[in-house]
Amino acid sequence: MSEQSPAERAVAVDLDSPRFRAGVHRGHWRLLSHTFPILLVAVAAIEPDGNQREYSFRFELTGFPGVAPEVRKWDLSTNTLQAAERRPKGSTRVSEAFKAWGGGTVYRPWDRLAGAHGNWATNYPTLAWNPKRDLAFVLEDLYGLLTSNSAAQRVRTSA
Amino acid sequence: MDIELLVEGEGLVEVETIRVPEGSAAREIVIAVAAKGHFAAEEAFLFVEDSDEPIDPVLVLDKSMAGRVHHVHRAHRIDVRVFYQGRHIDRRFGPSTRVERVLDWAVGDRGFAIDPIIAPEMELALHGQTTALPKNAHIGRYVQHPHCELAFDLIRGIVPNGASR
Repeated sequence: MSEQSPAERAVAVDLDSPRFRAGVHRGHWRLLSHTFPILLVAVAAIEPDGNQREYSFRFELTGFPGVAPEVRKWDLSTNTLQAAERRPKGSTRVSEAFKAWGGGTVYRPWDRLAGAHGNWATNYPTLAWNPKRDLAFVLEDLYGLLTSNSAAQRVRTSA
Repeated sequence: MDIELLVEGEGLVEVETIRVPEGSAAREIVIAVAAKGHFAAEEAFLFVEDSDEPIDPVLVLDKSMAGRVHHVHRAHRIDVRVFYQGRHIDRRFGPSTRVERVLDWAVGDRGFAIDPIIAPEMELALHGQTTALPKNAHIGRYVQHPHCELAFDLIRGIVPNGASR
Protein backbone atom coordinates (compact mmCIF):
# COMPACT_ATOMS: atom_id res chain seq x y z
CA MET A 1 0.00 0.00 0.00
CA SER A 2 1.47 3.35 -1.04
CA GLU A 3 1.72 6.19 1.44
CA GLN A 4 -0.01 9.50 0.72
CA SER A 5 2.26 12.39 -0.17
CA PRO A 6 1.99 15.58 1.92
CA ALA A 7 0.20 17.25 -0.98
CA GLU A 8 -2.30 14.40 -1.26
CA ARG A 9 -2.97 14.56 2.48
CA ALA A 10 -3.43 18.34 2.30
CA VAL A 11 -6.00 17.98 -0.47
CA ALA A 12 -7.88 15.33 1.52
CA VAL A 13 -7.96 17.60 4.57
CA ASP A 14 -9.26 20.47 2.43
CA LEU A 15 -12.03 18.37 0.89
CA ASP A 16 -13.21 17.46 4.39
CA SER A 17 -12.97 21.02 5.73
CA PRO A 18 -16.03 22.94 6.99
CA ARG A 19 -15.47 25.59 4.30
CA PHE A 20 -15.51 23.07 1.45
CA ARG A 21 -18.49 21.19 2.90
CA ALA A 22 -20.42 24.43 3.48
CA GLY A 23 -20.12 25.20 -0.25
CA VAL A 24 -21.47 21.73 -1.07
CA HIS A 25 -24.38 22.13 1.37
CA ARG A 26 -25.22 25.53 -0.13
CA GLY A 27 -25.27 24.04 -3.63
CA HIS A 28 -22.43 26.29 -4.74
CA TRP A 29 -20.15 23.46 -5.89
CA ARG A 30 -19.90 19.69 -5.90
CA LEU A 31 -17.08 17.21 -6.15
CA LEU A 32 -17.13 15.23 -9.40
CA SER A 33 -14.02 13.10 -8.95
CA HIS A 34 -10.69 13.06 -7.19
CA THR A 35 -7.70 10.95 -8.13
CA PHE A 36 -4.69 12.86 -6.87
CA PRO A 37 -3.32 15.10 -8.27
CA ILE A 38 -6.43 15.69 -10.41
CA LEU A 39 -9.64 17.04 -8.93
CA LEU A 40 -12.81 17.73 -10.93
CA VAL A 41 -15.40 20.09 -9.43
CA ALA A 42 -18.67 21.49 -10.83
CA VAL A 43 -19.51 25.06 -9.82
CA ALA A 44 -22.99 26.58 -9.99
CA ALA A 45 -23.49 29.50 -12.38
CA ILE A 46 -26.09 31.99 -13.51
CA GLU A 47 -26.04 32.87 -17.19
CA PRO A 48 -26.62 36.44 -18.47
CA ASP A 49 -30.22 35.43 -19.33
CA GLY A 50 -30.80 34.34 -15.72
CA ASN A 51 -30.75 30.59 -16.36
CA GLN A 52 -28.88 28.41 -13.90
CA ARG A 53 -26.26 25.87 -14.94
CA GLU A 54 -22.94 24.39 -13.87
CA TYR A 55 -19.40 24.70 -15.21
CA SER A 56 -16.73 22.08 -14.57
CA PHE A 57 -13.14 22.74 -13.57
CA ARG A 58 -10.05 20.56 -13.55
CA PHE A 59 -7.58 21.22 -10.72
CA GLU A 60 -4.01 19.92 -10.99
CA LEU A 61 -2.71 19.87 -7.42
CA THR A 62 0.89 18.66 -7.44
CA GLY A 63 2.76 20.25 -4.53
CA PHE A 64 -0.44 21.62 -2.92
CA PRO A 65 -0.68 23.91 -0.99
CA GLY A 66 2.94 25.08 -1.33
CA VAL A 67 2.38 25.21 -5.09
CA ALA A 68 -0.72 26.98 -6.40
CA PRO A 69 -3.42 24.88 -8.09
CA GLU A 70 -3.48 24.87 -11.89
CA VAL A 71 -7.15 25.28 -12.77
CA ARG A 72 -8.70 24.81 -16.19
CA LYS A 73 -12.23 25.24 -17.42
CA TRP A 74 -13.00 21.65 -18.40
CA ASP A 75 -15.27 19.89 -20.89
CA LEU A 76 -16.31 16.64 -19.24
CA SER A 77 -17.75 15.17 -22.45
CA THR A 78 -14.39 15.29 -24.24
CA ASN A 79 -12.12 15.40 -21.17
CA THR A 80 -10.33 18.40 -22.66
CA LEU A 81 -10.02 22.12 -22.11
CA GLN A 82 -13.39 23.74 -22.80
CA ALA A 83 -13.62 25.55 -26.12
CA ALA A 84 -13.44 29.33 -25.78
CA GLU A 85 -16.89 29.90 -27.28
CA ARG A 86 -18.52 27.68 -24.64
CA ARG A 87 -16.99 29.42 -21.65
CA PRO A 88 -18.92 31.57 -19.13
CA LYS A 89 -20.17 34.94 -20.30
CA GLY A 90 -20.94 38.10 -18.36
CA SER A 91 -19.22 41.26 -17.22
CA THR A 92 -15.66 42.26 -18.02
CA ARG A 93 -14.55 40.49 -14.87
CA VAL A 94 -16.12 37.22 -16.05
CA SER A 95 -14.88 37.41 -19.63
CA GLU A 96 -11.35 38.25 -18.43
CA ALA A 97 -11.28 35.37 -15.95
CA PHE A 98 -12.35 32.74 -18.49
CA LYS A 99 -10.75 34.04 -21.65
CA ALA A 100 -8.46 31.89 -23.79
CA TRP A 101 -4.91 32.92 -23.03
CA GLY A 102 -1.46 31.40 -23.49
CA GLY A 103 -1.45 29.46 -20.24
CA GLY A 104 -4.86 27.89 -20.89
CA THR A 105 -5.87 28.20 -17.23
CA VAL A 106 -8.39 30.38 -15.41
CA TYR A 107 -7.01 33.91 -15.62
CA ARG A 108 -6.98 34.75 -11.91
CA PRO A 109 -4.07 35.55 -9.59
CA TRP A 110 -4.56 32.37 -7.51
CA ASP A 111 -3.90 30.13 -10.53
CA ARG A 112 -0.42 28.61 -10.83
CA LEU A 113 0.27 29.94 -14.33
CA ALA A 114 -1.72 33.16 -14.31
CA GLY A 115 -0.41 34.13 -10.89
CA ALA A 116 3.17 33.68 -12.04
CA HIS A 117 2.99 36.35 -14.72
CA GLY A 118 2.57 40.11 -14.80
CA ASN A 119 3.76 40.58 -11.20
CA TRP A 120 0.26 39.56 -10.10
CA ALA A 121 1.32 38.18 -6.72
CA THR A 122 2.46 41.69 -5.76
CA ASN A 123 -0.27 43.61 -7.55
CA TYR A 124 -3.20 41.51 -6.32
CA PRO A 125 -2.31 40.14 -2.88
CA THR A 126 -5.94 39.58 -1.89
CA LEU A 127 -6.43 37.22 -4.85
CA ALA A 128 -2.94 35.74 -5.12
CA TRP A 129 -2.18 32.22 -3.93
CA ASN A 130 -0.20 31.50 -0.78
CA PRO A 131 0.21 28.25 1.17
CA LYS A 132 -2.40 29.36 3.73
CA ARG A 133 -5.10 29.41 1.06
CA ASP A 134 -7.42 26.45 0.54
CA LEU A 135 -9.53 24.97 -2.25
CA ALA A 136 -12.61 26.76 -0.92
CA PHE A 137 -10.85 30.09 -1.51
CA VAL A 138 -10.57 29.27 -5.21
CA LEU A 139 -14.08 27.83 -5.40
CA GLU A 140 -15.61 30.85 -3.64
CA ASP A 141 -13.94 33.12 -6.19
CA LEU A 142 -15.16 30.98 -9.10
CA TYR A 143 -18.68 30.82 -7.65
CA GLY A 144 -18.70 34.59 -7.13
CA LEU A 145 -17.66 35.18 -10.75
CA LEU A 146 -20.04 32.62 -12.21
CA THR A 147 -23.08 33.92 -10.32
CA SER A 148 -22.26 37.63 -10.69
CA ASN A 149 -24.79 37.86 -13.55
CA SER A 150 -27.49 37.61 -10.87
CA ALA A 151 -26.70 41.20 -9.86
CA ALA A 152 -27.56 42.48 -13.34
CA GLN A 153 -30.69 40.33 -13.35
CA ARG A 154 -31.73 41.79 -10.00
CA VAL A 155 -31.54 45.34 -11.32
CA ARG A 156 -33.21 44.49 -14.65
CA THR A 157 -36.11 42.52 -13.20
CA SER A 158 -36.89 45.12 -10.56
CA ALA A 159 -36.49 48.15 -12.83
CA MET B 1 -25.76 9.31 17.83
CA ASP B 2 -24.27 12.76 17.22
CA ILE B 3 -25.10 15.12 14.38
CA GLU B 4 -22.31 17.20 12.85
CA LEU B 5 -23.40 20.75 12.06
CA LEU B 6 -21.79 23.65 10.23
CA VAL B 7 -21.96 26.85 12.25
CA GLU B 8 -20.90 30.47 12.21
CA GLY B 9 -21.29 32.92 15.04
CA GLU B 10 -20.19 35.84 17.09
CA GLY B 11 -16.49 35.53 17.85
CA LEU B 12 -15.89 32.98 15.06
CA VAL B 13 -13.87 34.06 12.04
CA GLU B 14 -14.89 31.18 9.78
CA VAL B 15 -17.48 28.43 9.40
CA GLU B 16 -16.76 25.59 11.82
CA THR B 17 -18.21 22.22 12.76
CA ILE B 18 -19.76 21.17 16.04
CA ARG B 19 -21.20 17.85 17.18
CA VAL B 20 -24.46 17.69 19.11
CA PRO B 21 -26.56 14.69 20.16
CA GLU B 22 -29.42 13.85 17.78
CA GLY B 23 -32.74 14.33 19.55
CA SER B 24 -31.46 17.04 21.87
CA ALA B 25 -32.75 20.63 21.87
CA ALA B 26 -31.43 23.23 19.44
CA ARG B 27 -30.19 25.06 22.52
CA GLU B 28 -27.22 22.64 22.38
CA ILE B 29 -26.05 24.43 19.24
CA VAL B 30 -26.18 27.75 21.08
CA ILE B 31 -24.21 26.34 23.99
CA ALA B 32 -21.52 24.85 21.72
CA VAL B 33 -21.03 28.01 19.64
CA ALA B 34 -21.12 30.27 22.69
CA ALA B 35 -18.29 28.22 24.19
CA LYS B 36 -16.24 28.71 21.01
CA GLY B 37 -17.06 32.42 20.88
CA HIS B 38 -16.53 32.94 24.62
CA PHE B 39 -19.90 34.46 25.49
CA ALA B 40 -22.90 33.49 27.63
CA ALA B 41 -25.29 31.12 25.87
CA GLU B 42 -28.26 32.52 27.78
CA GLU B 43 -28.01 35.81 25.88
CA ALA B 44 -27.72 34.31 22.40
CA PHE B 45 -30.10 33.63 19.51
CA LEU B 46 -29.95 30.78 17.00
CA PHE B 47 -30.52 31.43 13.28
CA VAL B 48 -30.54 29.44 10.07
CA GLU B 49 -28.35 30.99 7.35
CA ASP B 50 -29.96 33.97 5.58
CA SER B 51 -32.94 34.02 7.92
CA ASP B 52 -33.87 37.19 9.81
CA GLU B 53 -35.83 35.41 12.53
CA PRO B 54 -34.29 33.20 15.24
CA ILE B 55 -35.44 29.61 15.63
CA ASP B 56 -36.91 28.18 18.79
CA PRO B 57 -34.15 26.83 21.06
CA VAL B 58 -36.40 23.97 22.23
CA LEU B 59 -36.68 22.61 18.68
CA VAL B 60 -35.55 18.97 18.59
CA LEU B 61 -32.44 18.39 16.49
CA ASP B 62 -32.57 15.86 13.67
CA LYS B 63 -30.33 14.96 10.75
CA SER B 64 -32.12 17.33 8.36
CA MET B 65 -30.48 20.24 10.20
CA ALA B 66 -27.03 19.00 9.19
CA GLY B 67 -27.61 20.26 5.65
CA ARG B 68 -27.86 23.90 6.67
CA VAL B 69 -25.39 26.37 8.14
CA HIS B 70 -26.52 27.82 11.47
CA HIS B 71 -25.48 30.99 13.29
CA VAL B 72 -25.39 31.96 16.95
CA HIS B 73 -25.20 35.60 17.98
CA ARG B 74 -26.22 37.84 20.87
CA ALA B 75 -27.54 40.46 18.44
CA HIS B 76 -31.10 39.75 17.29
CA ARG B 77 -30.77 42.13 14.34
CA ILE B 78 -27.94 44.13 12.78
CA ASP B 79 -28.48 47.64 11.47
CA VAL B 80 -26.61 47.71 8.16
CA ARG B 81 -25.54 50.88 6.37
CA VAL B 82 -23.98 50.81 2.89
CA PHE B 83 -22.10 53.80 1.47
CA TYR B 84 -21.66 54.51 -2.24
CA GLN B 85 -20.65 57.71 -4.02
CA GLY B 86 -21.51 60.04 -1.15
CA ARG B 87 -24.88 58.45 -0.38
CA HIS B 88 -25.92 55.74 2.03
CA ILE B 89 -28.79 53.30 2.45
CA ASP B 90 -29.94 51.45 5.57
CA ARG B 91 -31.64 48.18 6.31
CA ARG B 92 -31.89 45.75 9.21
CA PHE B 93 -30.76 42.12 8.69
CA GLY B 94 -30.35 39.04 10.86
CA PRO B 95 -26.74 38.20 11.82
CA SER B 96 -26.86 34.97 9.78
CA THR B 97 -27.28 36.97 6.57
CA ARG B 98 -24.55 36.28 4.03
CA VAL B 99 -22.65 39.20 2.55
CA GLU B 100 -24.01 38.18 -0.85
CA ARG B 101 -27.60 38.90 0.27
CA VAL B 102 -26.65 42.39 1.46
CA LEU B 103 -24.81 42.99 -1.82
CA ASP B 104 -27.84 41.89 -3.86
CA TRP B 105 -29.98 44.39 -1.96
CA ALA B 106 -27.41 47.19 -2.28
CA VAL B 107 -27.08 46.92 -6.08
CA GLY B 108 -30.82 46.34 -6.67
CA ASP B 109 -33.53 48.93 -7.14
CA ARG B 110 -34.25 49.07 -3.40
CA GLY B 111 -30.61 49.98 -2.94
CA PHE B 112 -28.49 52.06 -5.31
CA ALA B 113 -30.02 50.68 -8.54
CA ILE B 114 -26.58 50.13 -10.03
CA ASP B 115 -26.34 50.05 -13.83
CA PRO B 116 -26.80 46.39 -14.91
CA ILE B 117 -23.58 46.61 -16.92
CA ILE B 118 -21.42 47.18 -13.85
CA ALA B 119 -23.66 45.62 -11.16
CA PRO B 120 -21.94 42.19 -11.56
CA GLU B 121 -18.59 43.81 -10.77
CA MET B 122 -19.63 45.30 -7.43
CA GLU B 123 -18.46 43.99 -4.06
CA LEU B 124 -18.82 44.94 -0.41
CA ALA B 125 -15.93 45.99 1.82
CA LEU B 126 -16.01 47.01 5.45
CA HIS B 127 -16.49 50.78 5.59
CA GLY B 128 -13.18 52.57 5.03
CA GLN B 129 -11.46 49.46 3.66
CA THR B 130 -10.83 48.26 0.11
CA THR B 131 -10.72 44.46 0.38
CA ALA B 132 -13.82 42.71 -0.95
CA LEU B 133 -15.47 40.54 1.69
CA PRO B 134 -16.17 36.84 1.06
CA LYS B 135 -19.75 36.60 -0.20
CA ASN B 136 -20.56 33.58 1.93
CA ALA B 137 -19.48 35.18 5.20
CA HIS B 138 -22.28 35.83 7.69
CA ILE B 139 -22.41 39.52 8.60
CA GLY B 140 -22.55 38.58 12.28
CA ARG B 141 -18.83 37.76 12.01
CA TYR B 142 -18.09 41.45 11.88
CA VAL B 143 -20.23 42.55 14.84
CA GLN B 144 -19.50 42.07 18.51
CA HIS B 145 -22.23 42.42 21.13
CA PRO B 146 -23.38 44.91 22.50
CA HIS B 147 -22.86 46.63 19.14
CA CYS B 148 -25.45 45.88 16.50
CA GLU B 149 -24.43 48.23 13.68
CA LEU B 150 -22.31 47.43 10.64
CA ALA B 151 -21.20 49.72 7.80
CA PHE B 152 -20.02 48.65 4.34
CA ASP B 153 -18.71 50.42 1.26
CA LEU B 154 -19.98 49.31 -2.13
CA ILE B 155 -16.83 49.00 -4.24
CA ARG B 156 -15.85 47.95 -7.76
CA GLY B 157 -14.27 44.49 -7.70
CA ILE B 158 -10.76 43.85 -8.92
CA VAL B 159 -10.35 42.87 -12.57
CA PRO B 160 -6.80 41.55 -12.88
CA ASN B 161 -5.28 42.94 -16.02
CA GLY B 162 -8.27 45.29 -16.16
CA ALA B 163 -8.76 48.97 -15.49
CA SER B 164 -10.28 48.95 -12.01
CA ARG B 165 -6.99 48.86 -10.14
